[in-house]
Amino acid sequence: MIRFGGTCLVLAAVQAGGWPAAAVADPSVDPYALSPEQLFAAEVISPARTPESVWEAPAAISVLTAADIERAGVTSIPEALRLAPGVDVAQINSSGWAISARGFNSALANKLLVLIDGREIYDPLFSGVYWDVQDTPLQDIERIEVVRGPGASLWGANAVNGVINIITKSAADTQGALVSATAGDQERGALTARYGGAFGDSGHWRIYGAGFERTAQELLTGGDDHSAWQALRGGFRTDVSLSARDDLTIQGDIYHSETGQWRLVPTLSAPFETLAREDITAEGGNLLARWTRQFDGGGVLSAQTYFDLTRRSQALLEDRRRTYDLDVQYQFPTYGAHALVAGMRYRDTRDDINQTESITAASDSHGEQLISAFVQDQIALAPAWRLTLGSKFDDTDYTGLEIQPSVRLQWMGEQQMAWGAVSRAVRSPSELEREYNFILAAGPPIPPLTVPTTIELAPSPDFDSEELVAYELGYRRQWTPDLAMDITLFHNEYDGLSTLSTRPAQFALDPPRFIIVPIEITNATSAATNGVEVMFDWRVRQNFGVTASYSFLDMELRGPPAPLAIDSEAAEGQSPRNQASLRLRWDATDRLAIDGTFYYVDNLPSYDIDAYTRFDLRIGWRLTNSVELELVGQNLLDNRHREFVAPGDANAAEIQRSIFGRLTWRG
Amino acid sequence: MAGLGRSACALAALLLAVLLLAPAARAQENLRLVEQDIKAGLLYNFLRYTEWPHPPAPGDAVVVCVWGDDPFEGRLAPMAGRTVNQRRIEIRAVHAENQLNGCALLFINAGERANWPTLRQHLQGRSILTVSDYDGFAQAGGMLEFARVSNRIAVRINVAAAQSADLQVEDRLLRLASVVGARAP
Repeated sequence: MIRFGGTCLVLAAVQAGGWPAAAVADPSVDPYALSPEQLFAAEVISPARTPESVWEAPAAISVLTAADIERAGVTSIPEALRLAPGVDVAQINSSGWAISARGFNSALANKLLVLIDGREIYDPLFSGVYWDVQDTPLQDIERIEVVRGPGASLWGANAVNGVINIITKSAADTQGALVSATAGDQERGALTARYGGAFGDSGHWRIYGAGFERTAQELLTGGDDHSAWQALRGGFRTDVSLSARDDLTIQGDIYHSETGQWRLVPTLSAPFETLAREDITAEGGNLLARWTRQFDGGGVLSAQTYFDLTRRSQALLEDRRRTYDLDVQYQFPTYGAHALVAGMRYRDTRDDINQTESITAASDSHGEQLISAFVQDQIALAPAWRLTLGSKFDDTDYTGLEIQPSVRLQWMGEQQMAWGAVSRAVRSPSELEREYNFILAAGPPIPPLTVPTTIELAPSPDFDSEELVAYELGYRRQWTPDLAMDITLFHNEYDGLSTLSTRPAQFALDPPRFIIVPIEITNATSAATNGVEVMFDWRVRQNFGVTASYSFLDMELRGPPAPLAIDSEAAEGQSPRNQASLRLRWDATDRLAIDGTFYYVDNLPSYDIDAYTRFDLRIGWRLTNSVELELVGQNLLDNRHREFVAPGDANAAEIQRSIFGRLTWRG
Repeated sequence: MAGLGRSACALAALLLAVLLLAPAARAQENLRLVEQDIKAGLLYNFLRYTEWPHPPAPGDAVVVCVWGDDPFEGRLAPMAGRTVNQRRIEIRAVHAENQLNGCALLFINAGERANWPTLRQHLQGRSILTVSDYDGFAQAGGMLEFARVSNRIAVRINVAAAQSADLQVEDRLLRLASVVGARAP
């Protein structure tokens, strides 16, 4: 159903019949291989929460279930996202990742919207996600829905190239105790503890605490890259049925994270540029409440509100932000052939910064208000045909009204489905682009001048939204109960992409300096991208399954040439042209599961990064019904390789092989 | 680092709380399955852990019959590919009493509860394990009844009914199920 907790609405309206159970929650489990004890202990999934609708969704969507995540043997959300076909996950250092889909990857990737339980986790400062503070315990995640392509008609700005929707388990599904301890060479140590209980017949709760420490990666030149990472996190969730028709969820988290990196820090006095170890401290908390009411006639009303506080402190900038968000939506009872959903949203976000020599702004405090509405109608045209029309209307302080419509048509046949879509989406300007002045580099005075020379990124108040029109075609087929495939073709046309346009050299006061290259962000670049994403899922035997995926991406950017702009077409070389993965799942015995995954990622010419093949292996051994031991090796094929580079990050790190063990006890 | 230290204390306290609370906790976060899968898996285990007086001859199939509409939404079909005691399993839809010959297990659709008393008469003297999932089936002389308890599937066993049909339900199942009616000596 609803955006908050479920498969996105585009995808809603689960119909009876249609696709078989291939995509049901725990597909790796064969009920006939289970003992009576296991079956009696098994929890019944209520159909409303199963992602069965995925196979009916007229969008390029994939779902990572809790079982997928556990069997991948990963320790973070970004690493889990590698499993999603067509998603480009590149690790920068121990605590940093660049994640995108369908191109435009960057350490500041800004075309992907990420939500945890309906809470947007991108930071309005740069319209991207700080992955180093998104470390919800993986054991609490019920599933991750990944939509490639625009989800803007429902989700709004920044859902340009995709939406990642992370959904945690209901408190009812995490009753009892869980303690999980991890130790290894990179994963120095991690501990997660959780306890869940019930109050009365209708309410459940859980609390959790988690902490971990990871080592730094290694610089190309040797030595550590200062990205050692330690974090602590705690939180709770309660789910209560207030009545047969009313459900209330209240949840919250607090966290603290410490990591770092090497950075070239420009200064206006000698030596003008210092290579410094930069510490990054981030902390925050959030509190969210969601109420859902089902009406007799079939309508469903949901209201969600959250409050989110973050603080991030690094050498270049300290930023404190508070966000308040209220979202109300109503799913109308089906009326004839129409299934209508509509919603409204209000968000208020404000941050305070501590300016430094290299980053300045006209004001220490910035606020932004967003009012938006969406409406979507899914129309059953004929028994096999369905048309989905929707649009989002955003009103922001920076760009005024933005209309983001989409049209989706689908045909559903026997064990197969085809769909096509045309959508418009925008990426709205970030605070950083509009308000801030950055000194990117500094140098000594050029005689006869006596003031230092700089290269600077100036505030760009005229920078407008980037725009995408996307054309997609998809086809899915369930050949047999054990063999399924999914293929998507897309053609994206971007206009007004951010461009670092150079301006004439100029003097500046306060402090006095000569800006030899002033840069302003303009909307001067356009692009066309084409791609294919294919996925095959084959259960070869009851206890052995294979999932293969391949994605191809061709990017063609057209921007102003140098010296009018800096690297306006660089994005072409920042996302891999070819990506592939092969997952092998083998239940060797009732208690022993062995999983291996190969990833191939093409080279990134812009960063001079070679193609690499990565192999991860997990051996999971259920020692007793309540204790499980896992041994995991990541990057087993090479002892180190580079995956990405962060701008301003002085030294590219190499991602090293990692071996760890994890012991989990459930009581 | 002061903040980290404080949080570490909080984490330690939480961990302690978990460890103290743990013994009272139920074993949790088990498998999560669709209801029909759990029931289908249990049906298979009923075949494994019940003794019939006259098992089918080698080469013959163990026949699982479904009376009325099949409520398993296709999830029963994969059982036909499996074996029990080296005998293959066959799934058969039955709608009339004269089709019951050869059935080892009979699942009765809950919608057919009104026909159960008559059906029960016909089953008298035959060694057919009867299973259904409506409330009160075991009380009404059925042998195994699926019940939904919270978010799990439980089984009620009418041992007397099974024994009068000469069927021996093994202890492994009895331990996990709740027994309805008196246990015959």
